[in-house]
Amino acid sequence: MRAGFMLLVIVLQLVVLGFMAGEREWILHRGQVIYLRTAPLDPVDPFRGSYVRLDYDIGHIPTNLVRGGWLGKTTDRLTQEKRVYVSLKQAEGGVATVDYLSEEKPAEGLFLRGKLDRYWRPSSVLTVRYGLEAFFAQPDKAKQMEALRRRGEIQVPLEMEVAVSPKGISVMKGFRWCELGVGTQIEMAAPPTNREIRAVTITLMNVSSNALAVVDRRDGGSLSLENDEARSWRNDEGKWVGPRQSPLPLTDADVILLKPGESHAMKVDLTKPEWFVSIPGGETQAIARLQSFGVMFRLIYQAPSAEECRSLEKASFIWHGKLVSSAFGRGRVD
Amino acid sequence: MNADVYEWLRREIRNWQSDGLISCEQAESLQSKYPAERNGRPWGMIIFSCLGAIIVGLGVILLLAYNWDAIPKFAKLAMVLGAVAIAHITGFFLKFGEARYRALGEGISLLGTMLFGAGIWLVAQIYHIDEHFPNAFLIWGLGALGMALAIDSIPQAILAAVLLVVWGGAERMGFETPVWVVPVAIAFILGALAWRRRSVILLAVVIPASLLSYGFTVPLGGDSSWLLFSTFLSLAAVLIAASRLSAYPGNFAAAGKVFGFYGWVIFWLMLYLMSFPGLAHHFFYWYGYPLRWTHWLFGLIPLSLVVGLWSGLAYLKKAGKIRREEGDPGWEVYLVPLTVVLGVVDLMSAQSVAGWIVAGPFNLVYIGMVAAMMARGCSEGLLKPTAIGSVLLVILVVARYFDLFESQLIRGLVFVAIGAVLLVEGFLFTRARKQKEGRAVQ
Repeated sequence: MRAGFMLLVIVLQLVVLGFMAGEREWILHRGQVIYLRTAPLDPVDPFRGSYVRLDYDIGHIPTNLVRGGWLGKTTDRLTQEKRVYVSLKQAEGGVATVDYLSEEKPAEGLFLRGKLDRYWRPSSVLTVRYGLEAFFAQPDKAKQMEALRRRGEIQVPLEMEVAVSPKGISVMKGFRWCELGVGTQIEMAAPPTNREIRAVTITLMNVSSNALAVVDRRDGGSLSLENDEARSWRNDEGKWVGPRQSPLPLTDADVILLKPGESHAMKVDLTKPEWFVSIPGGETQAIARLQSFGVMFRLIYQAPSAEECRSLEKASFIWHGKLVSSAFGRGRVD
Repeated sequence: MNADVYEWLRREIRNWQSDGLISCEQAESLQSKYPAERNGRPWGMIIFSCLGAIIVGLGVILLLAYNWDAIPKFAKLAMVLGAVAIAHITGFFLKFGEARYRALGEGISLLGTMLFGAGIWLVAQIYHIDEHFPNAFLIWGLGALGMALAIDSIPQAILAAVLLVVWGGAERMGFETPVWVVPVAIAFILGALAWRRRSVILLAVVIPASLLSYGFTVPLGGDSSWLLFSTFLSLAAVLIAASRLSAYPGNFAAAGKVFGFYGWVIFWLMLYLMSFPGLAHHFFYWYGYPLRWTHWLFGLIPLSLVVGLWSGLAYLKKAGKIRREEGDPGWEVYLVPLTVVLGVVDLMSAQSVAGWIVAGPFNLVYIGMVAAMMARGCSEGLLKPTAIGSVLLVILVVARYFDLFESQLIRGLVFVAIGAVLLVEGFLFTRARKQKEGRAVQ
């Protein structure tokens, strides 16, 4: 009797390990493969050793992408560890982005199963974890990844290759580096107002081994300004006035060809009205004039679509995708 | 005679002795006919094989944590699954084979469970799984619990208790999720195993493990610290009652010391804290927040246990089923449930009373118990109650030095009085000790 019970427990222990590995192996072979943009850091886990902690773009979801009225009906505490489903769409450049977040499992399409972190009202961003936030690696490899991520002033986004099962369970398969890196430099006003941010320069560097082209529209329309709501303490100020209503048409002069290792800088003068942001009361202001220190921003480089570039001479070289600068605010850059 | 039969005989002799069927001398005589050296459990083998298993298991976890790229994924999986299987199967054959290898078999099975835990973390590492991490401790703990029940293994049960407490703690601290099942499983499943095996070691782990995991489930927050406090006061009273009830014939007599140790440590700590007016007021003042059903549950379960066990104890004492042995506490033990009653009264009236009205009665109970311990120690010539009572008295006097007497004159007089009490106590204790030794010689 006892011998049988012991054998049963032994078998169960082996089955548990086998199931954990088998389910993941099945997803790796049968799941749909996508890429997710992330930023890495490298901590150590006492049981699992060195790993790279990953902060996915799709891990921070604006509340306006939440479907169903459940978020308004639940308390902040009950959101913690809540099971949610994040529906994805494939963007140009092969990186998946968020379509919407729901409480119910979508009937079809590409989606990931995740859990909410505690939601603190009145934040307008939800943090979702997918169980993909750690990439385990040999200690020297983990450090090497961190080094490749920062090449001087340039930060190169990491794109994780993920296999997704029809139930939304995801398994990490590998990773690739983005072909373009991005650097962010801020320019301050002279003393005594030296905490006032005057301008930001975005540098795009070709970190791939092939020639690439970026688009720098002469009207400044390649860049947009976004309030980094995941890191901001306030959401009642700091909304960008928005892009030009009638952008100038693309020309060959807007296309900059970059050989491997070459870079191109784009400067944004934040004191100009087209880069102003909202303040409470409906008016607009330069970022430097905002009252709150907590509001953070990011500049976003968005390449035009392949369709838009089709008539251009160097269309085949143009990199299609989106790059996000480091967050910056009054007197600091993260 | 094999180890299990020997263990059974030892238990029976202890029970016959506590039942009054045989005298202490007869018990010793019976024990000496079956010397422990040849027939007792091979503790050396058990301790070293279990320690070895734990250290090897932890070493494997750390080795795997290095995440050596040179070893292919499937080789790593095969290594861990193979190691778990080999350790468990070897343990199985040793455990159910020759008697002299059974303890070694238990140690190797423990290694198998350690490797099972290592396997959980390794699979998580290979597939970069970063999900709800307390689940790993739950699965590992269930593996250890299953094995503990399958082979009645004390080391596996201790490992299960530790892992389940870590699970409950991680859920509570990291995710604000109280896990009720942990204290229940530890107290009833592992506690039953400790009782069945008459294992003092397992009981010494089960009691703090269930108390700690129970503490993790108590609803906390600005309005609920009183609940944690009153719950632990009641649980201390429950443990003290259990320590006395263990002496009941047929029970697990050796458990009494374990129950008593934890019960008295918690009780004295609680009583000492309640002797401070500020703390007592804080513990019993629940700010008029509306009481939730969990408050009632957490307050009432330990309280009903106090009522049930102390009533049972009083009945058994009156019926002569439980006799007071030398060294057992005397009448002052009934101040324990009285303290719980005082706590309930204060909880019900805490909105209207404060300060020394709340803390005063607890100080009186403290002094009463200390005085009774010292008096009993001196009259019976017992060192333990005399020494513990004296130390507790000095601790209380030092505490009151700071918050009661502002006049240096009164402080000085109190110290002189306490010093005199201790001197007299020393004299009385020495005299009683000599009389006792004289009686023993006669």
